[in-house]
Amino acid sequence: MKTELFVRLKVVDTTALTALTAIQEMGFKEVIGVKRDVYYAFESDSDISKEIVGVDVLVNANKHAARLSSDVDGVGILVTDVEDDCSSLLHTLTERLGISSISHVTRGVFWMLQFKGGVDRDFAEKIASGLLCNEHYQKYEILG
Amino acid sequence: MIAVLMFPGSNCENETKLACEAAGMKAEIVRWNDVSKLGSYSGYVLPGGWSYEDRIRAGVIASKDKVVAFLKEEAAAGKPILGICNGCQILVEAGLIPGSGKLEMAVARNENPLVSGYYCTWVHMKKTSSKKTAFSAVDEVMAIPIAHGEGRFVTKDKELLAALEENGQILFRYCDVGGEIAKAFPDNPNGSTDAIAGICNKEGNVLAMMPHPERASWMRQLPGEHAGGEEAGPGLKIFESMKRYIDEN
Repeated sequence: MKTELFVRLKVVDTTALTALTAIQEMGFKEVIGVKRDVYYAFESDSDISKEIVGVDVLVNANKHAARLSSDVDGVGILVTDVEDDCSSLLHTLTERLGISSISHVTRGVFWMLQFKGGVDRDFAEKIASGLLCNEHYQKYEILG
Repeated sequence: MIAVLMFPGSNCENETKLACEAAGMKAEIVRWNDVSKLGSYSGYVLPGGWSYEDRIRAGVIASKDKVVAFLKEEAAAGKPILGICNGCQILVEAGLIPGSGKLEMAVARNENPLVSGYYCTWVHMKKTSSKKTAFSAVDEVMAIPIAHGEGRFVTKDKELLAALEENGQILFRYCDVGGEIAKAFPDNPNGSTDAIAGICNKEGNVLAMMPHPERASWMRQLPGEHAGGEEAGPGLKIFESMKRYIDEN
C-alpha cells in the first residue's frame, strides 16, 4: 500500500517565491504562481496514514501543514535525487518510531506551477529541466 | 583590477579580495546588480557563500543572473574567471564549466559517512593536469580547507569524464598527504567522482574549484604543525597564477 505525504510551510515560502521570480526572468511570464511541498511516499503492509501525519521528524505542526494528497492546481513537478535511498529515514521510522510496516520510502520536492490561461506541460518540461532539476543527479516527473 | 562578484548570500568576498591583493592584484568587491563597470576588469572571482540561500539547489539561481550571462562573454574573450565553492557551483550550473554553455555536470550533495549535509575540514589536493591554464602554477601537494554540503562533481554523461581527462581539464584532485590520488573518504571528503576538486574549461581561463584557496593564503591560516605566520600559504599560488596569466595576456 502506498501512502503519499505533502508537507508545506505555513508561512510564506521564500524558496517558492525565488523560483517564481527566476522562472519569469527566464522568460516564462505565463507562470503566475509557484508552490512547493516536501514530498514523501511510503510503501507499507498496512494503512499508516493516521500515524505518518503525526511524525514530527517529517511534520512540525508549528510550521508545517501536511496533506495526504496533492492540491495541485496547474502542473506538478516531482523532483527526486536519483541516489537517495532514504535508508536513514526508513531506519528512523521503523526502528526508532516503531512504524514497522513501512518497507520503502521515497522523498523529493513537489513543485506546483500555476499558468495564466491554463496548463502548459511543454513549458513545465522546460522549467523542470532548466531550473528545478539537475538531471546529472536528479530526475523529475510531470504530474497533473 | 579584479572584480570579486558578490551575490546575495556570498560570505567570502572580503578574504577573497585580500588574497587577490596579497598576490599583487588590485581587487574590488562588486555587487551582482552593479553592471556599471563590468567589462573594465581584467578578471573575476566568484567567492564562496550561499548565494540566494542555496534555494532550489546551490548556485542555480545565481547562474540565471544577467551578470553570469555577461561572464560568459568575458570568458569567451579569454579573461580569467575563478569560482570558489559556491562560485564553483554557479559556474557549473551556468555551463561555464566544463564549458560548452550547457548543463553538463552537477555539484551534488556530499557523500560522507560521518555527516549528511555541510562538512568542513582540511584536505589535500594536487594538480593532475599538465595543461597550461590561468591557475596552474601549483606543483606541490596543497593543504587546503573545504566547507560545503554540495561539493560532489558528478555527471550522467559517461563520455564527458574521459573527454575532460583527455583535454587536461581536471586540474585538481583530492589526494592524501603524500600525493596519492584519494580513493575514498576522508581523503576524498565528499565522494566526488574521480576525486575531482577543480575543473577548468578547455581554454584554461575559467576554473571551478570547491576548496577555498583564500583560506590557505597565509601560513597562519594552516592547522596544527603546518601553521606559520604571515608568509604566503599554498592557496596564494592560485591567485599568483591568475596574476601571471593576466600579466602575460
